[in-house]
Amino acid sequence: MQYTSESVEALVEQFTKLPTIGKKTARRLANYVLKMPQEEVETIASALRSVKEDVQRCSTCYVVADQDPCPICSSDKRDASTICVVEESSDLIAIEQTNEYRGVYHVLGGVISPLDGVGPDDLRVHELAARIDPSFEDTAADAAPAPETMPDGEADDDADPSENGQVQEGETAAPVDEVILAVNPNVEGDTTAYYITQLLEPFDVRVTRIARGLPIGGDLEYADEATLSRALEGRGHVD
Amino acid sequence: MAQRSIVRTKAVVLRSIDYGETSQIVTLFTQKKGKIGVMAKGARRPKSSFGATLQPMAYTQVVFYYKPARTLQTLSESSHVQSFHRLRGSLPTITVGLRIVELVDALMEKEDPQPAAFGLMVRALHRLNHSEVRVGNLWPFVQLQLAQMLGVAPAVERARVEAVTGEEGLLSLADGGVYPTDATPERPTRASRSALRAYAVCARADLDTVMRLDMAPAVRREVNALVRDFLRYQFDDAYPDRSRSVIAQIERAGAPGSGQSHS
Ligand SMILES: [Zn+2]
Repeated sequence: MQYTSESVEALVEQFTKLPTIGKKTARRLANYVLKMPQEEVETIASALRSVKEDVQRCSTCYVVADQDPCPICSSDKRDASTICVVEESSDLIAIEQTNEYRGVYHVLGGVISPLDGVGPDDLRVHELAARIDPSFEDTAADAAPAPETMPDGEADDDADPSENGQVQEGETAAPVDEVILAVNPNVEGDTTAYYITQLLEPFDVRVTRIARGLPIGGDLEYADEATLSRALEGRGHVD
Repeated sequence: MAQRSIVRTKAVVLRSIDYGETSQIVTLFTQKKGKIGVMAKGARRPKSSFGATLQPMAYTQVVFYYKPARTLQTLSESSHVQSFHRLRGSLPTITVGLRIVELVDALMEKEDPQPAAFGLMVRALHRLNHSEVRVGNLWPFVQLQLAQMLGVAPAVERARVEAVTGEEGLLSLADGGVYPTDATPERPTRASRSALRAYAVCARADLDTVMRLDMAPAVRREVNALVRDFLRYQFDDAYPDRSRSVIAQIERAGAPGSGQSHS
């Protein structure tokens, strides 16, 4: 047995839960925290807490935002007939930075990855279909339990449709003409794209994918703005 | 002192996990060294020289620095032998391909060269890349072939298969053989005659013959279940199960023609 403190060990244990943090790094971080001034530790602790408590998801597009609906969904300058489907909120930010896109978004919360055990039911795929055809939910409800969203994920039902009349309101919602799949060009992205294309086939909506021109295997997030703009412009049908 | 050497070999990518900001930890099934883990630095950068070669199911020529006793080797080069890009062009081929890489990843020991299994995998992925019909037939075939290479060949004997004349027969999970219902093999499980016959073809015939086999969806499901039960009995918890529920979700929502029910 070495000289250890249970609290330090507990912290090491927690750090190892973070992605890319191994035991060694976790120990280094824990030792660092041990030496930090009390106030700084408090600041980190409260930042951690508030990211869970204060941040919510837009109940329409599921982007991480401080308000619901998010600024994009509630803006009347955005074209609600085009939905760009992204894996995570960070991809949305990358596309927004191109200043090329005027439509709205849908954040899936990941991609279908059979090797990781992540399937359509773990993502917000059915919510996407319901945005295109609100009657979809009924038919899919028994087949797919609602995926786990943020603590306030129930917000679906009490979203304020008066914002600018888009989505959620069934018949009065702006019809969606095009769904642009902006998933990463890799096996998981392909699987997700084919799955969504197949799911949306019965609806009168054009499904396109931007991946063309993007380097395969590279992360959308790391693509430069010019490349991303070109990819958005040159989007094509999913075959 | 462990000597560092350079290894150049063909490999199939089994798994890629993002690491840090831009790197990936990649599990390769190599021809020369068997299953091996490598660190591919900067692989997720858009301009990475590894390009698309580190995607699961990719067939690639790799160069890595090898140090015995190290759990992760450092990948230096990777270029496509064949990209198998058509394989990635539809849900049924992707899902069968992913199940194959998952199985190989699960059943292979680290650094245990298995050139026959490597050849089987490449042949299967190649076939998947070029087939449009009955791609689901590959799945039971590959599983039974791999089991055989790992020392648990199903003991399927023609005479005993032909002795199954009624509606049903038995599969022995202990030896993988097919038996008539009046036989008493170890760990028997009941199955329909058509499923047992299709199972026997998958266990004994060559790939071309297996790919010509027409199975009704119900028979295919039964064959897949038999093969799964046999392998699970033989390999216990090593038999992978992760992708199965995901693929079931995909197929449930799918149009006819997706996944295993493809014919
Ligand atoms: Zn929104």
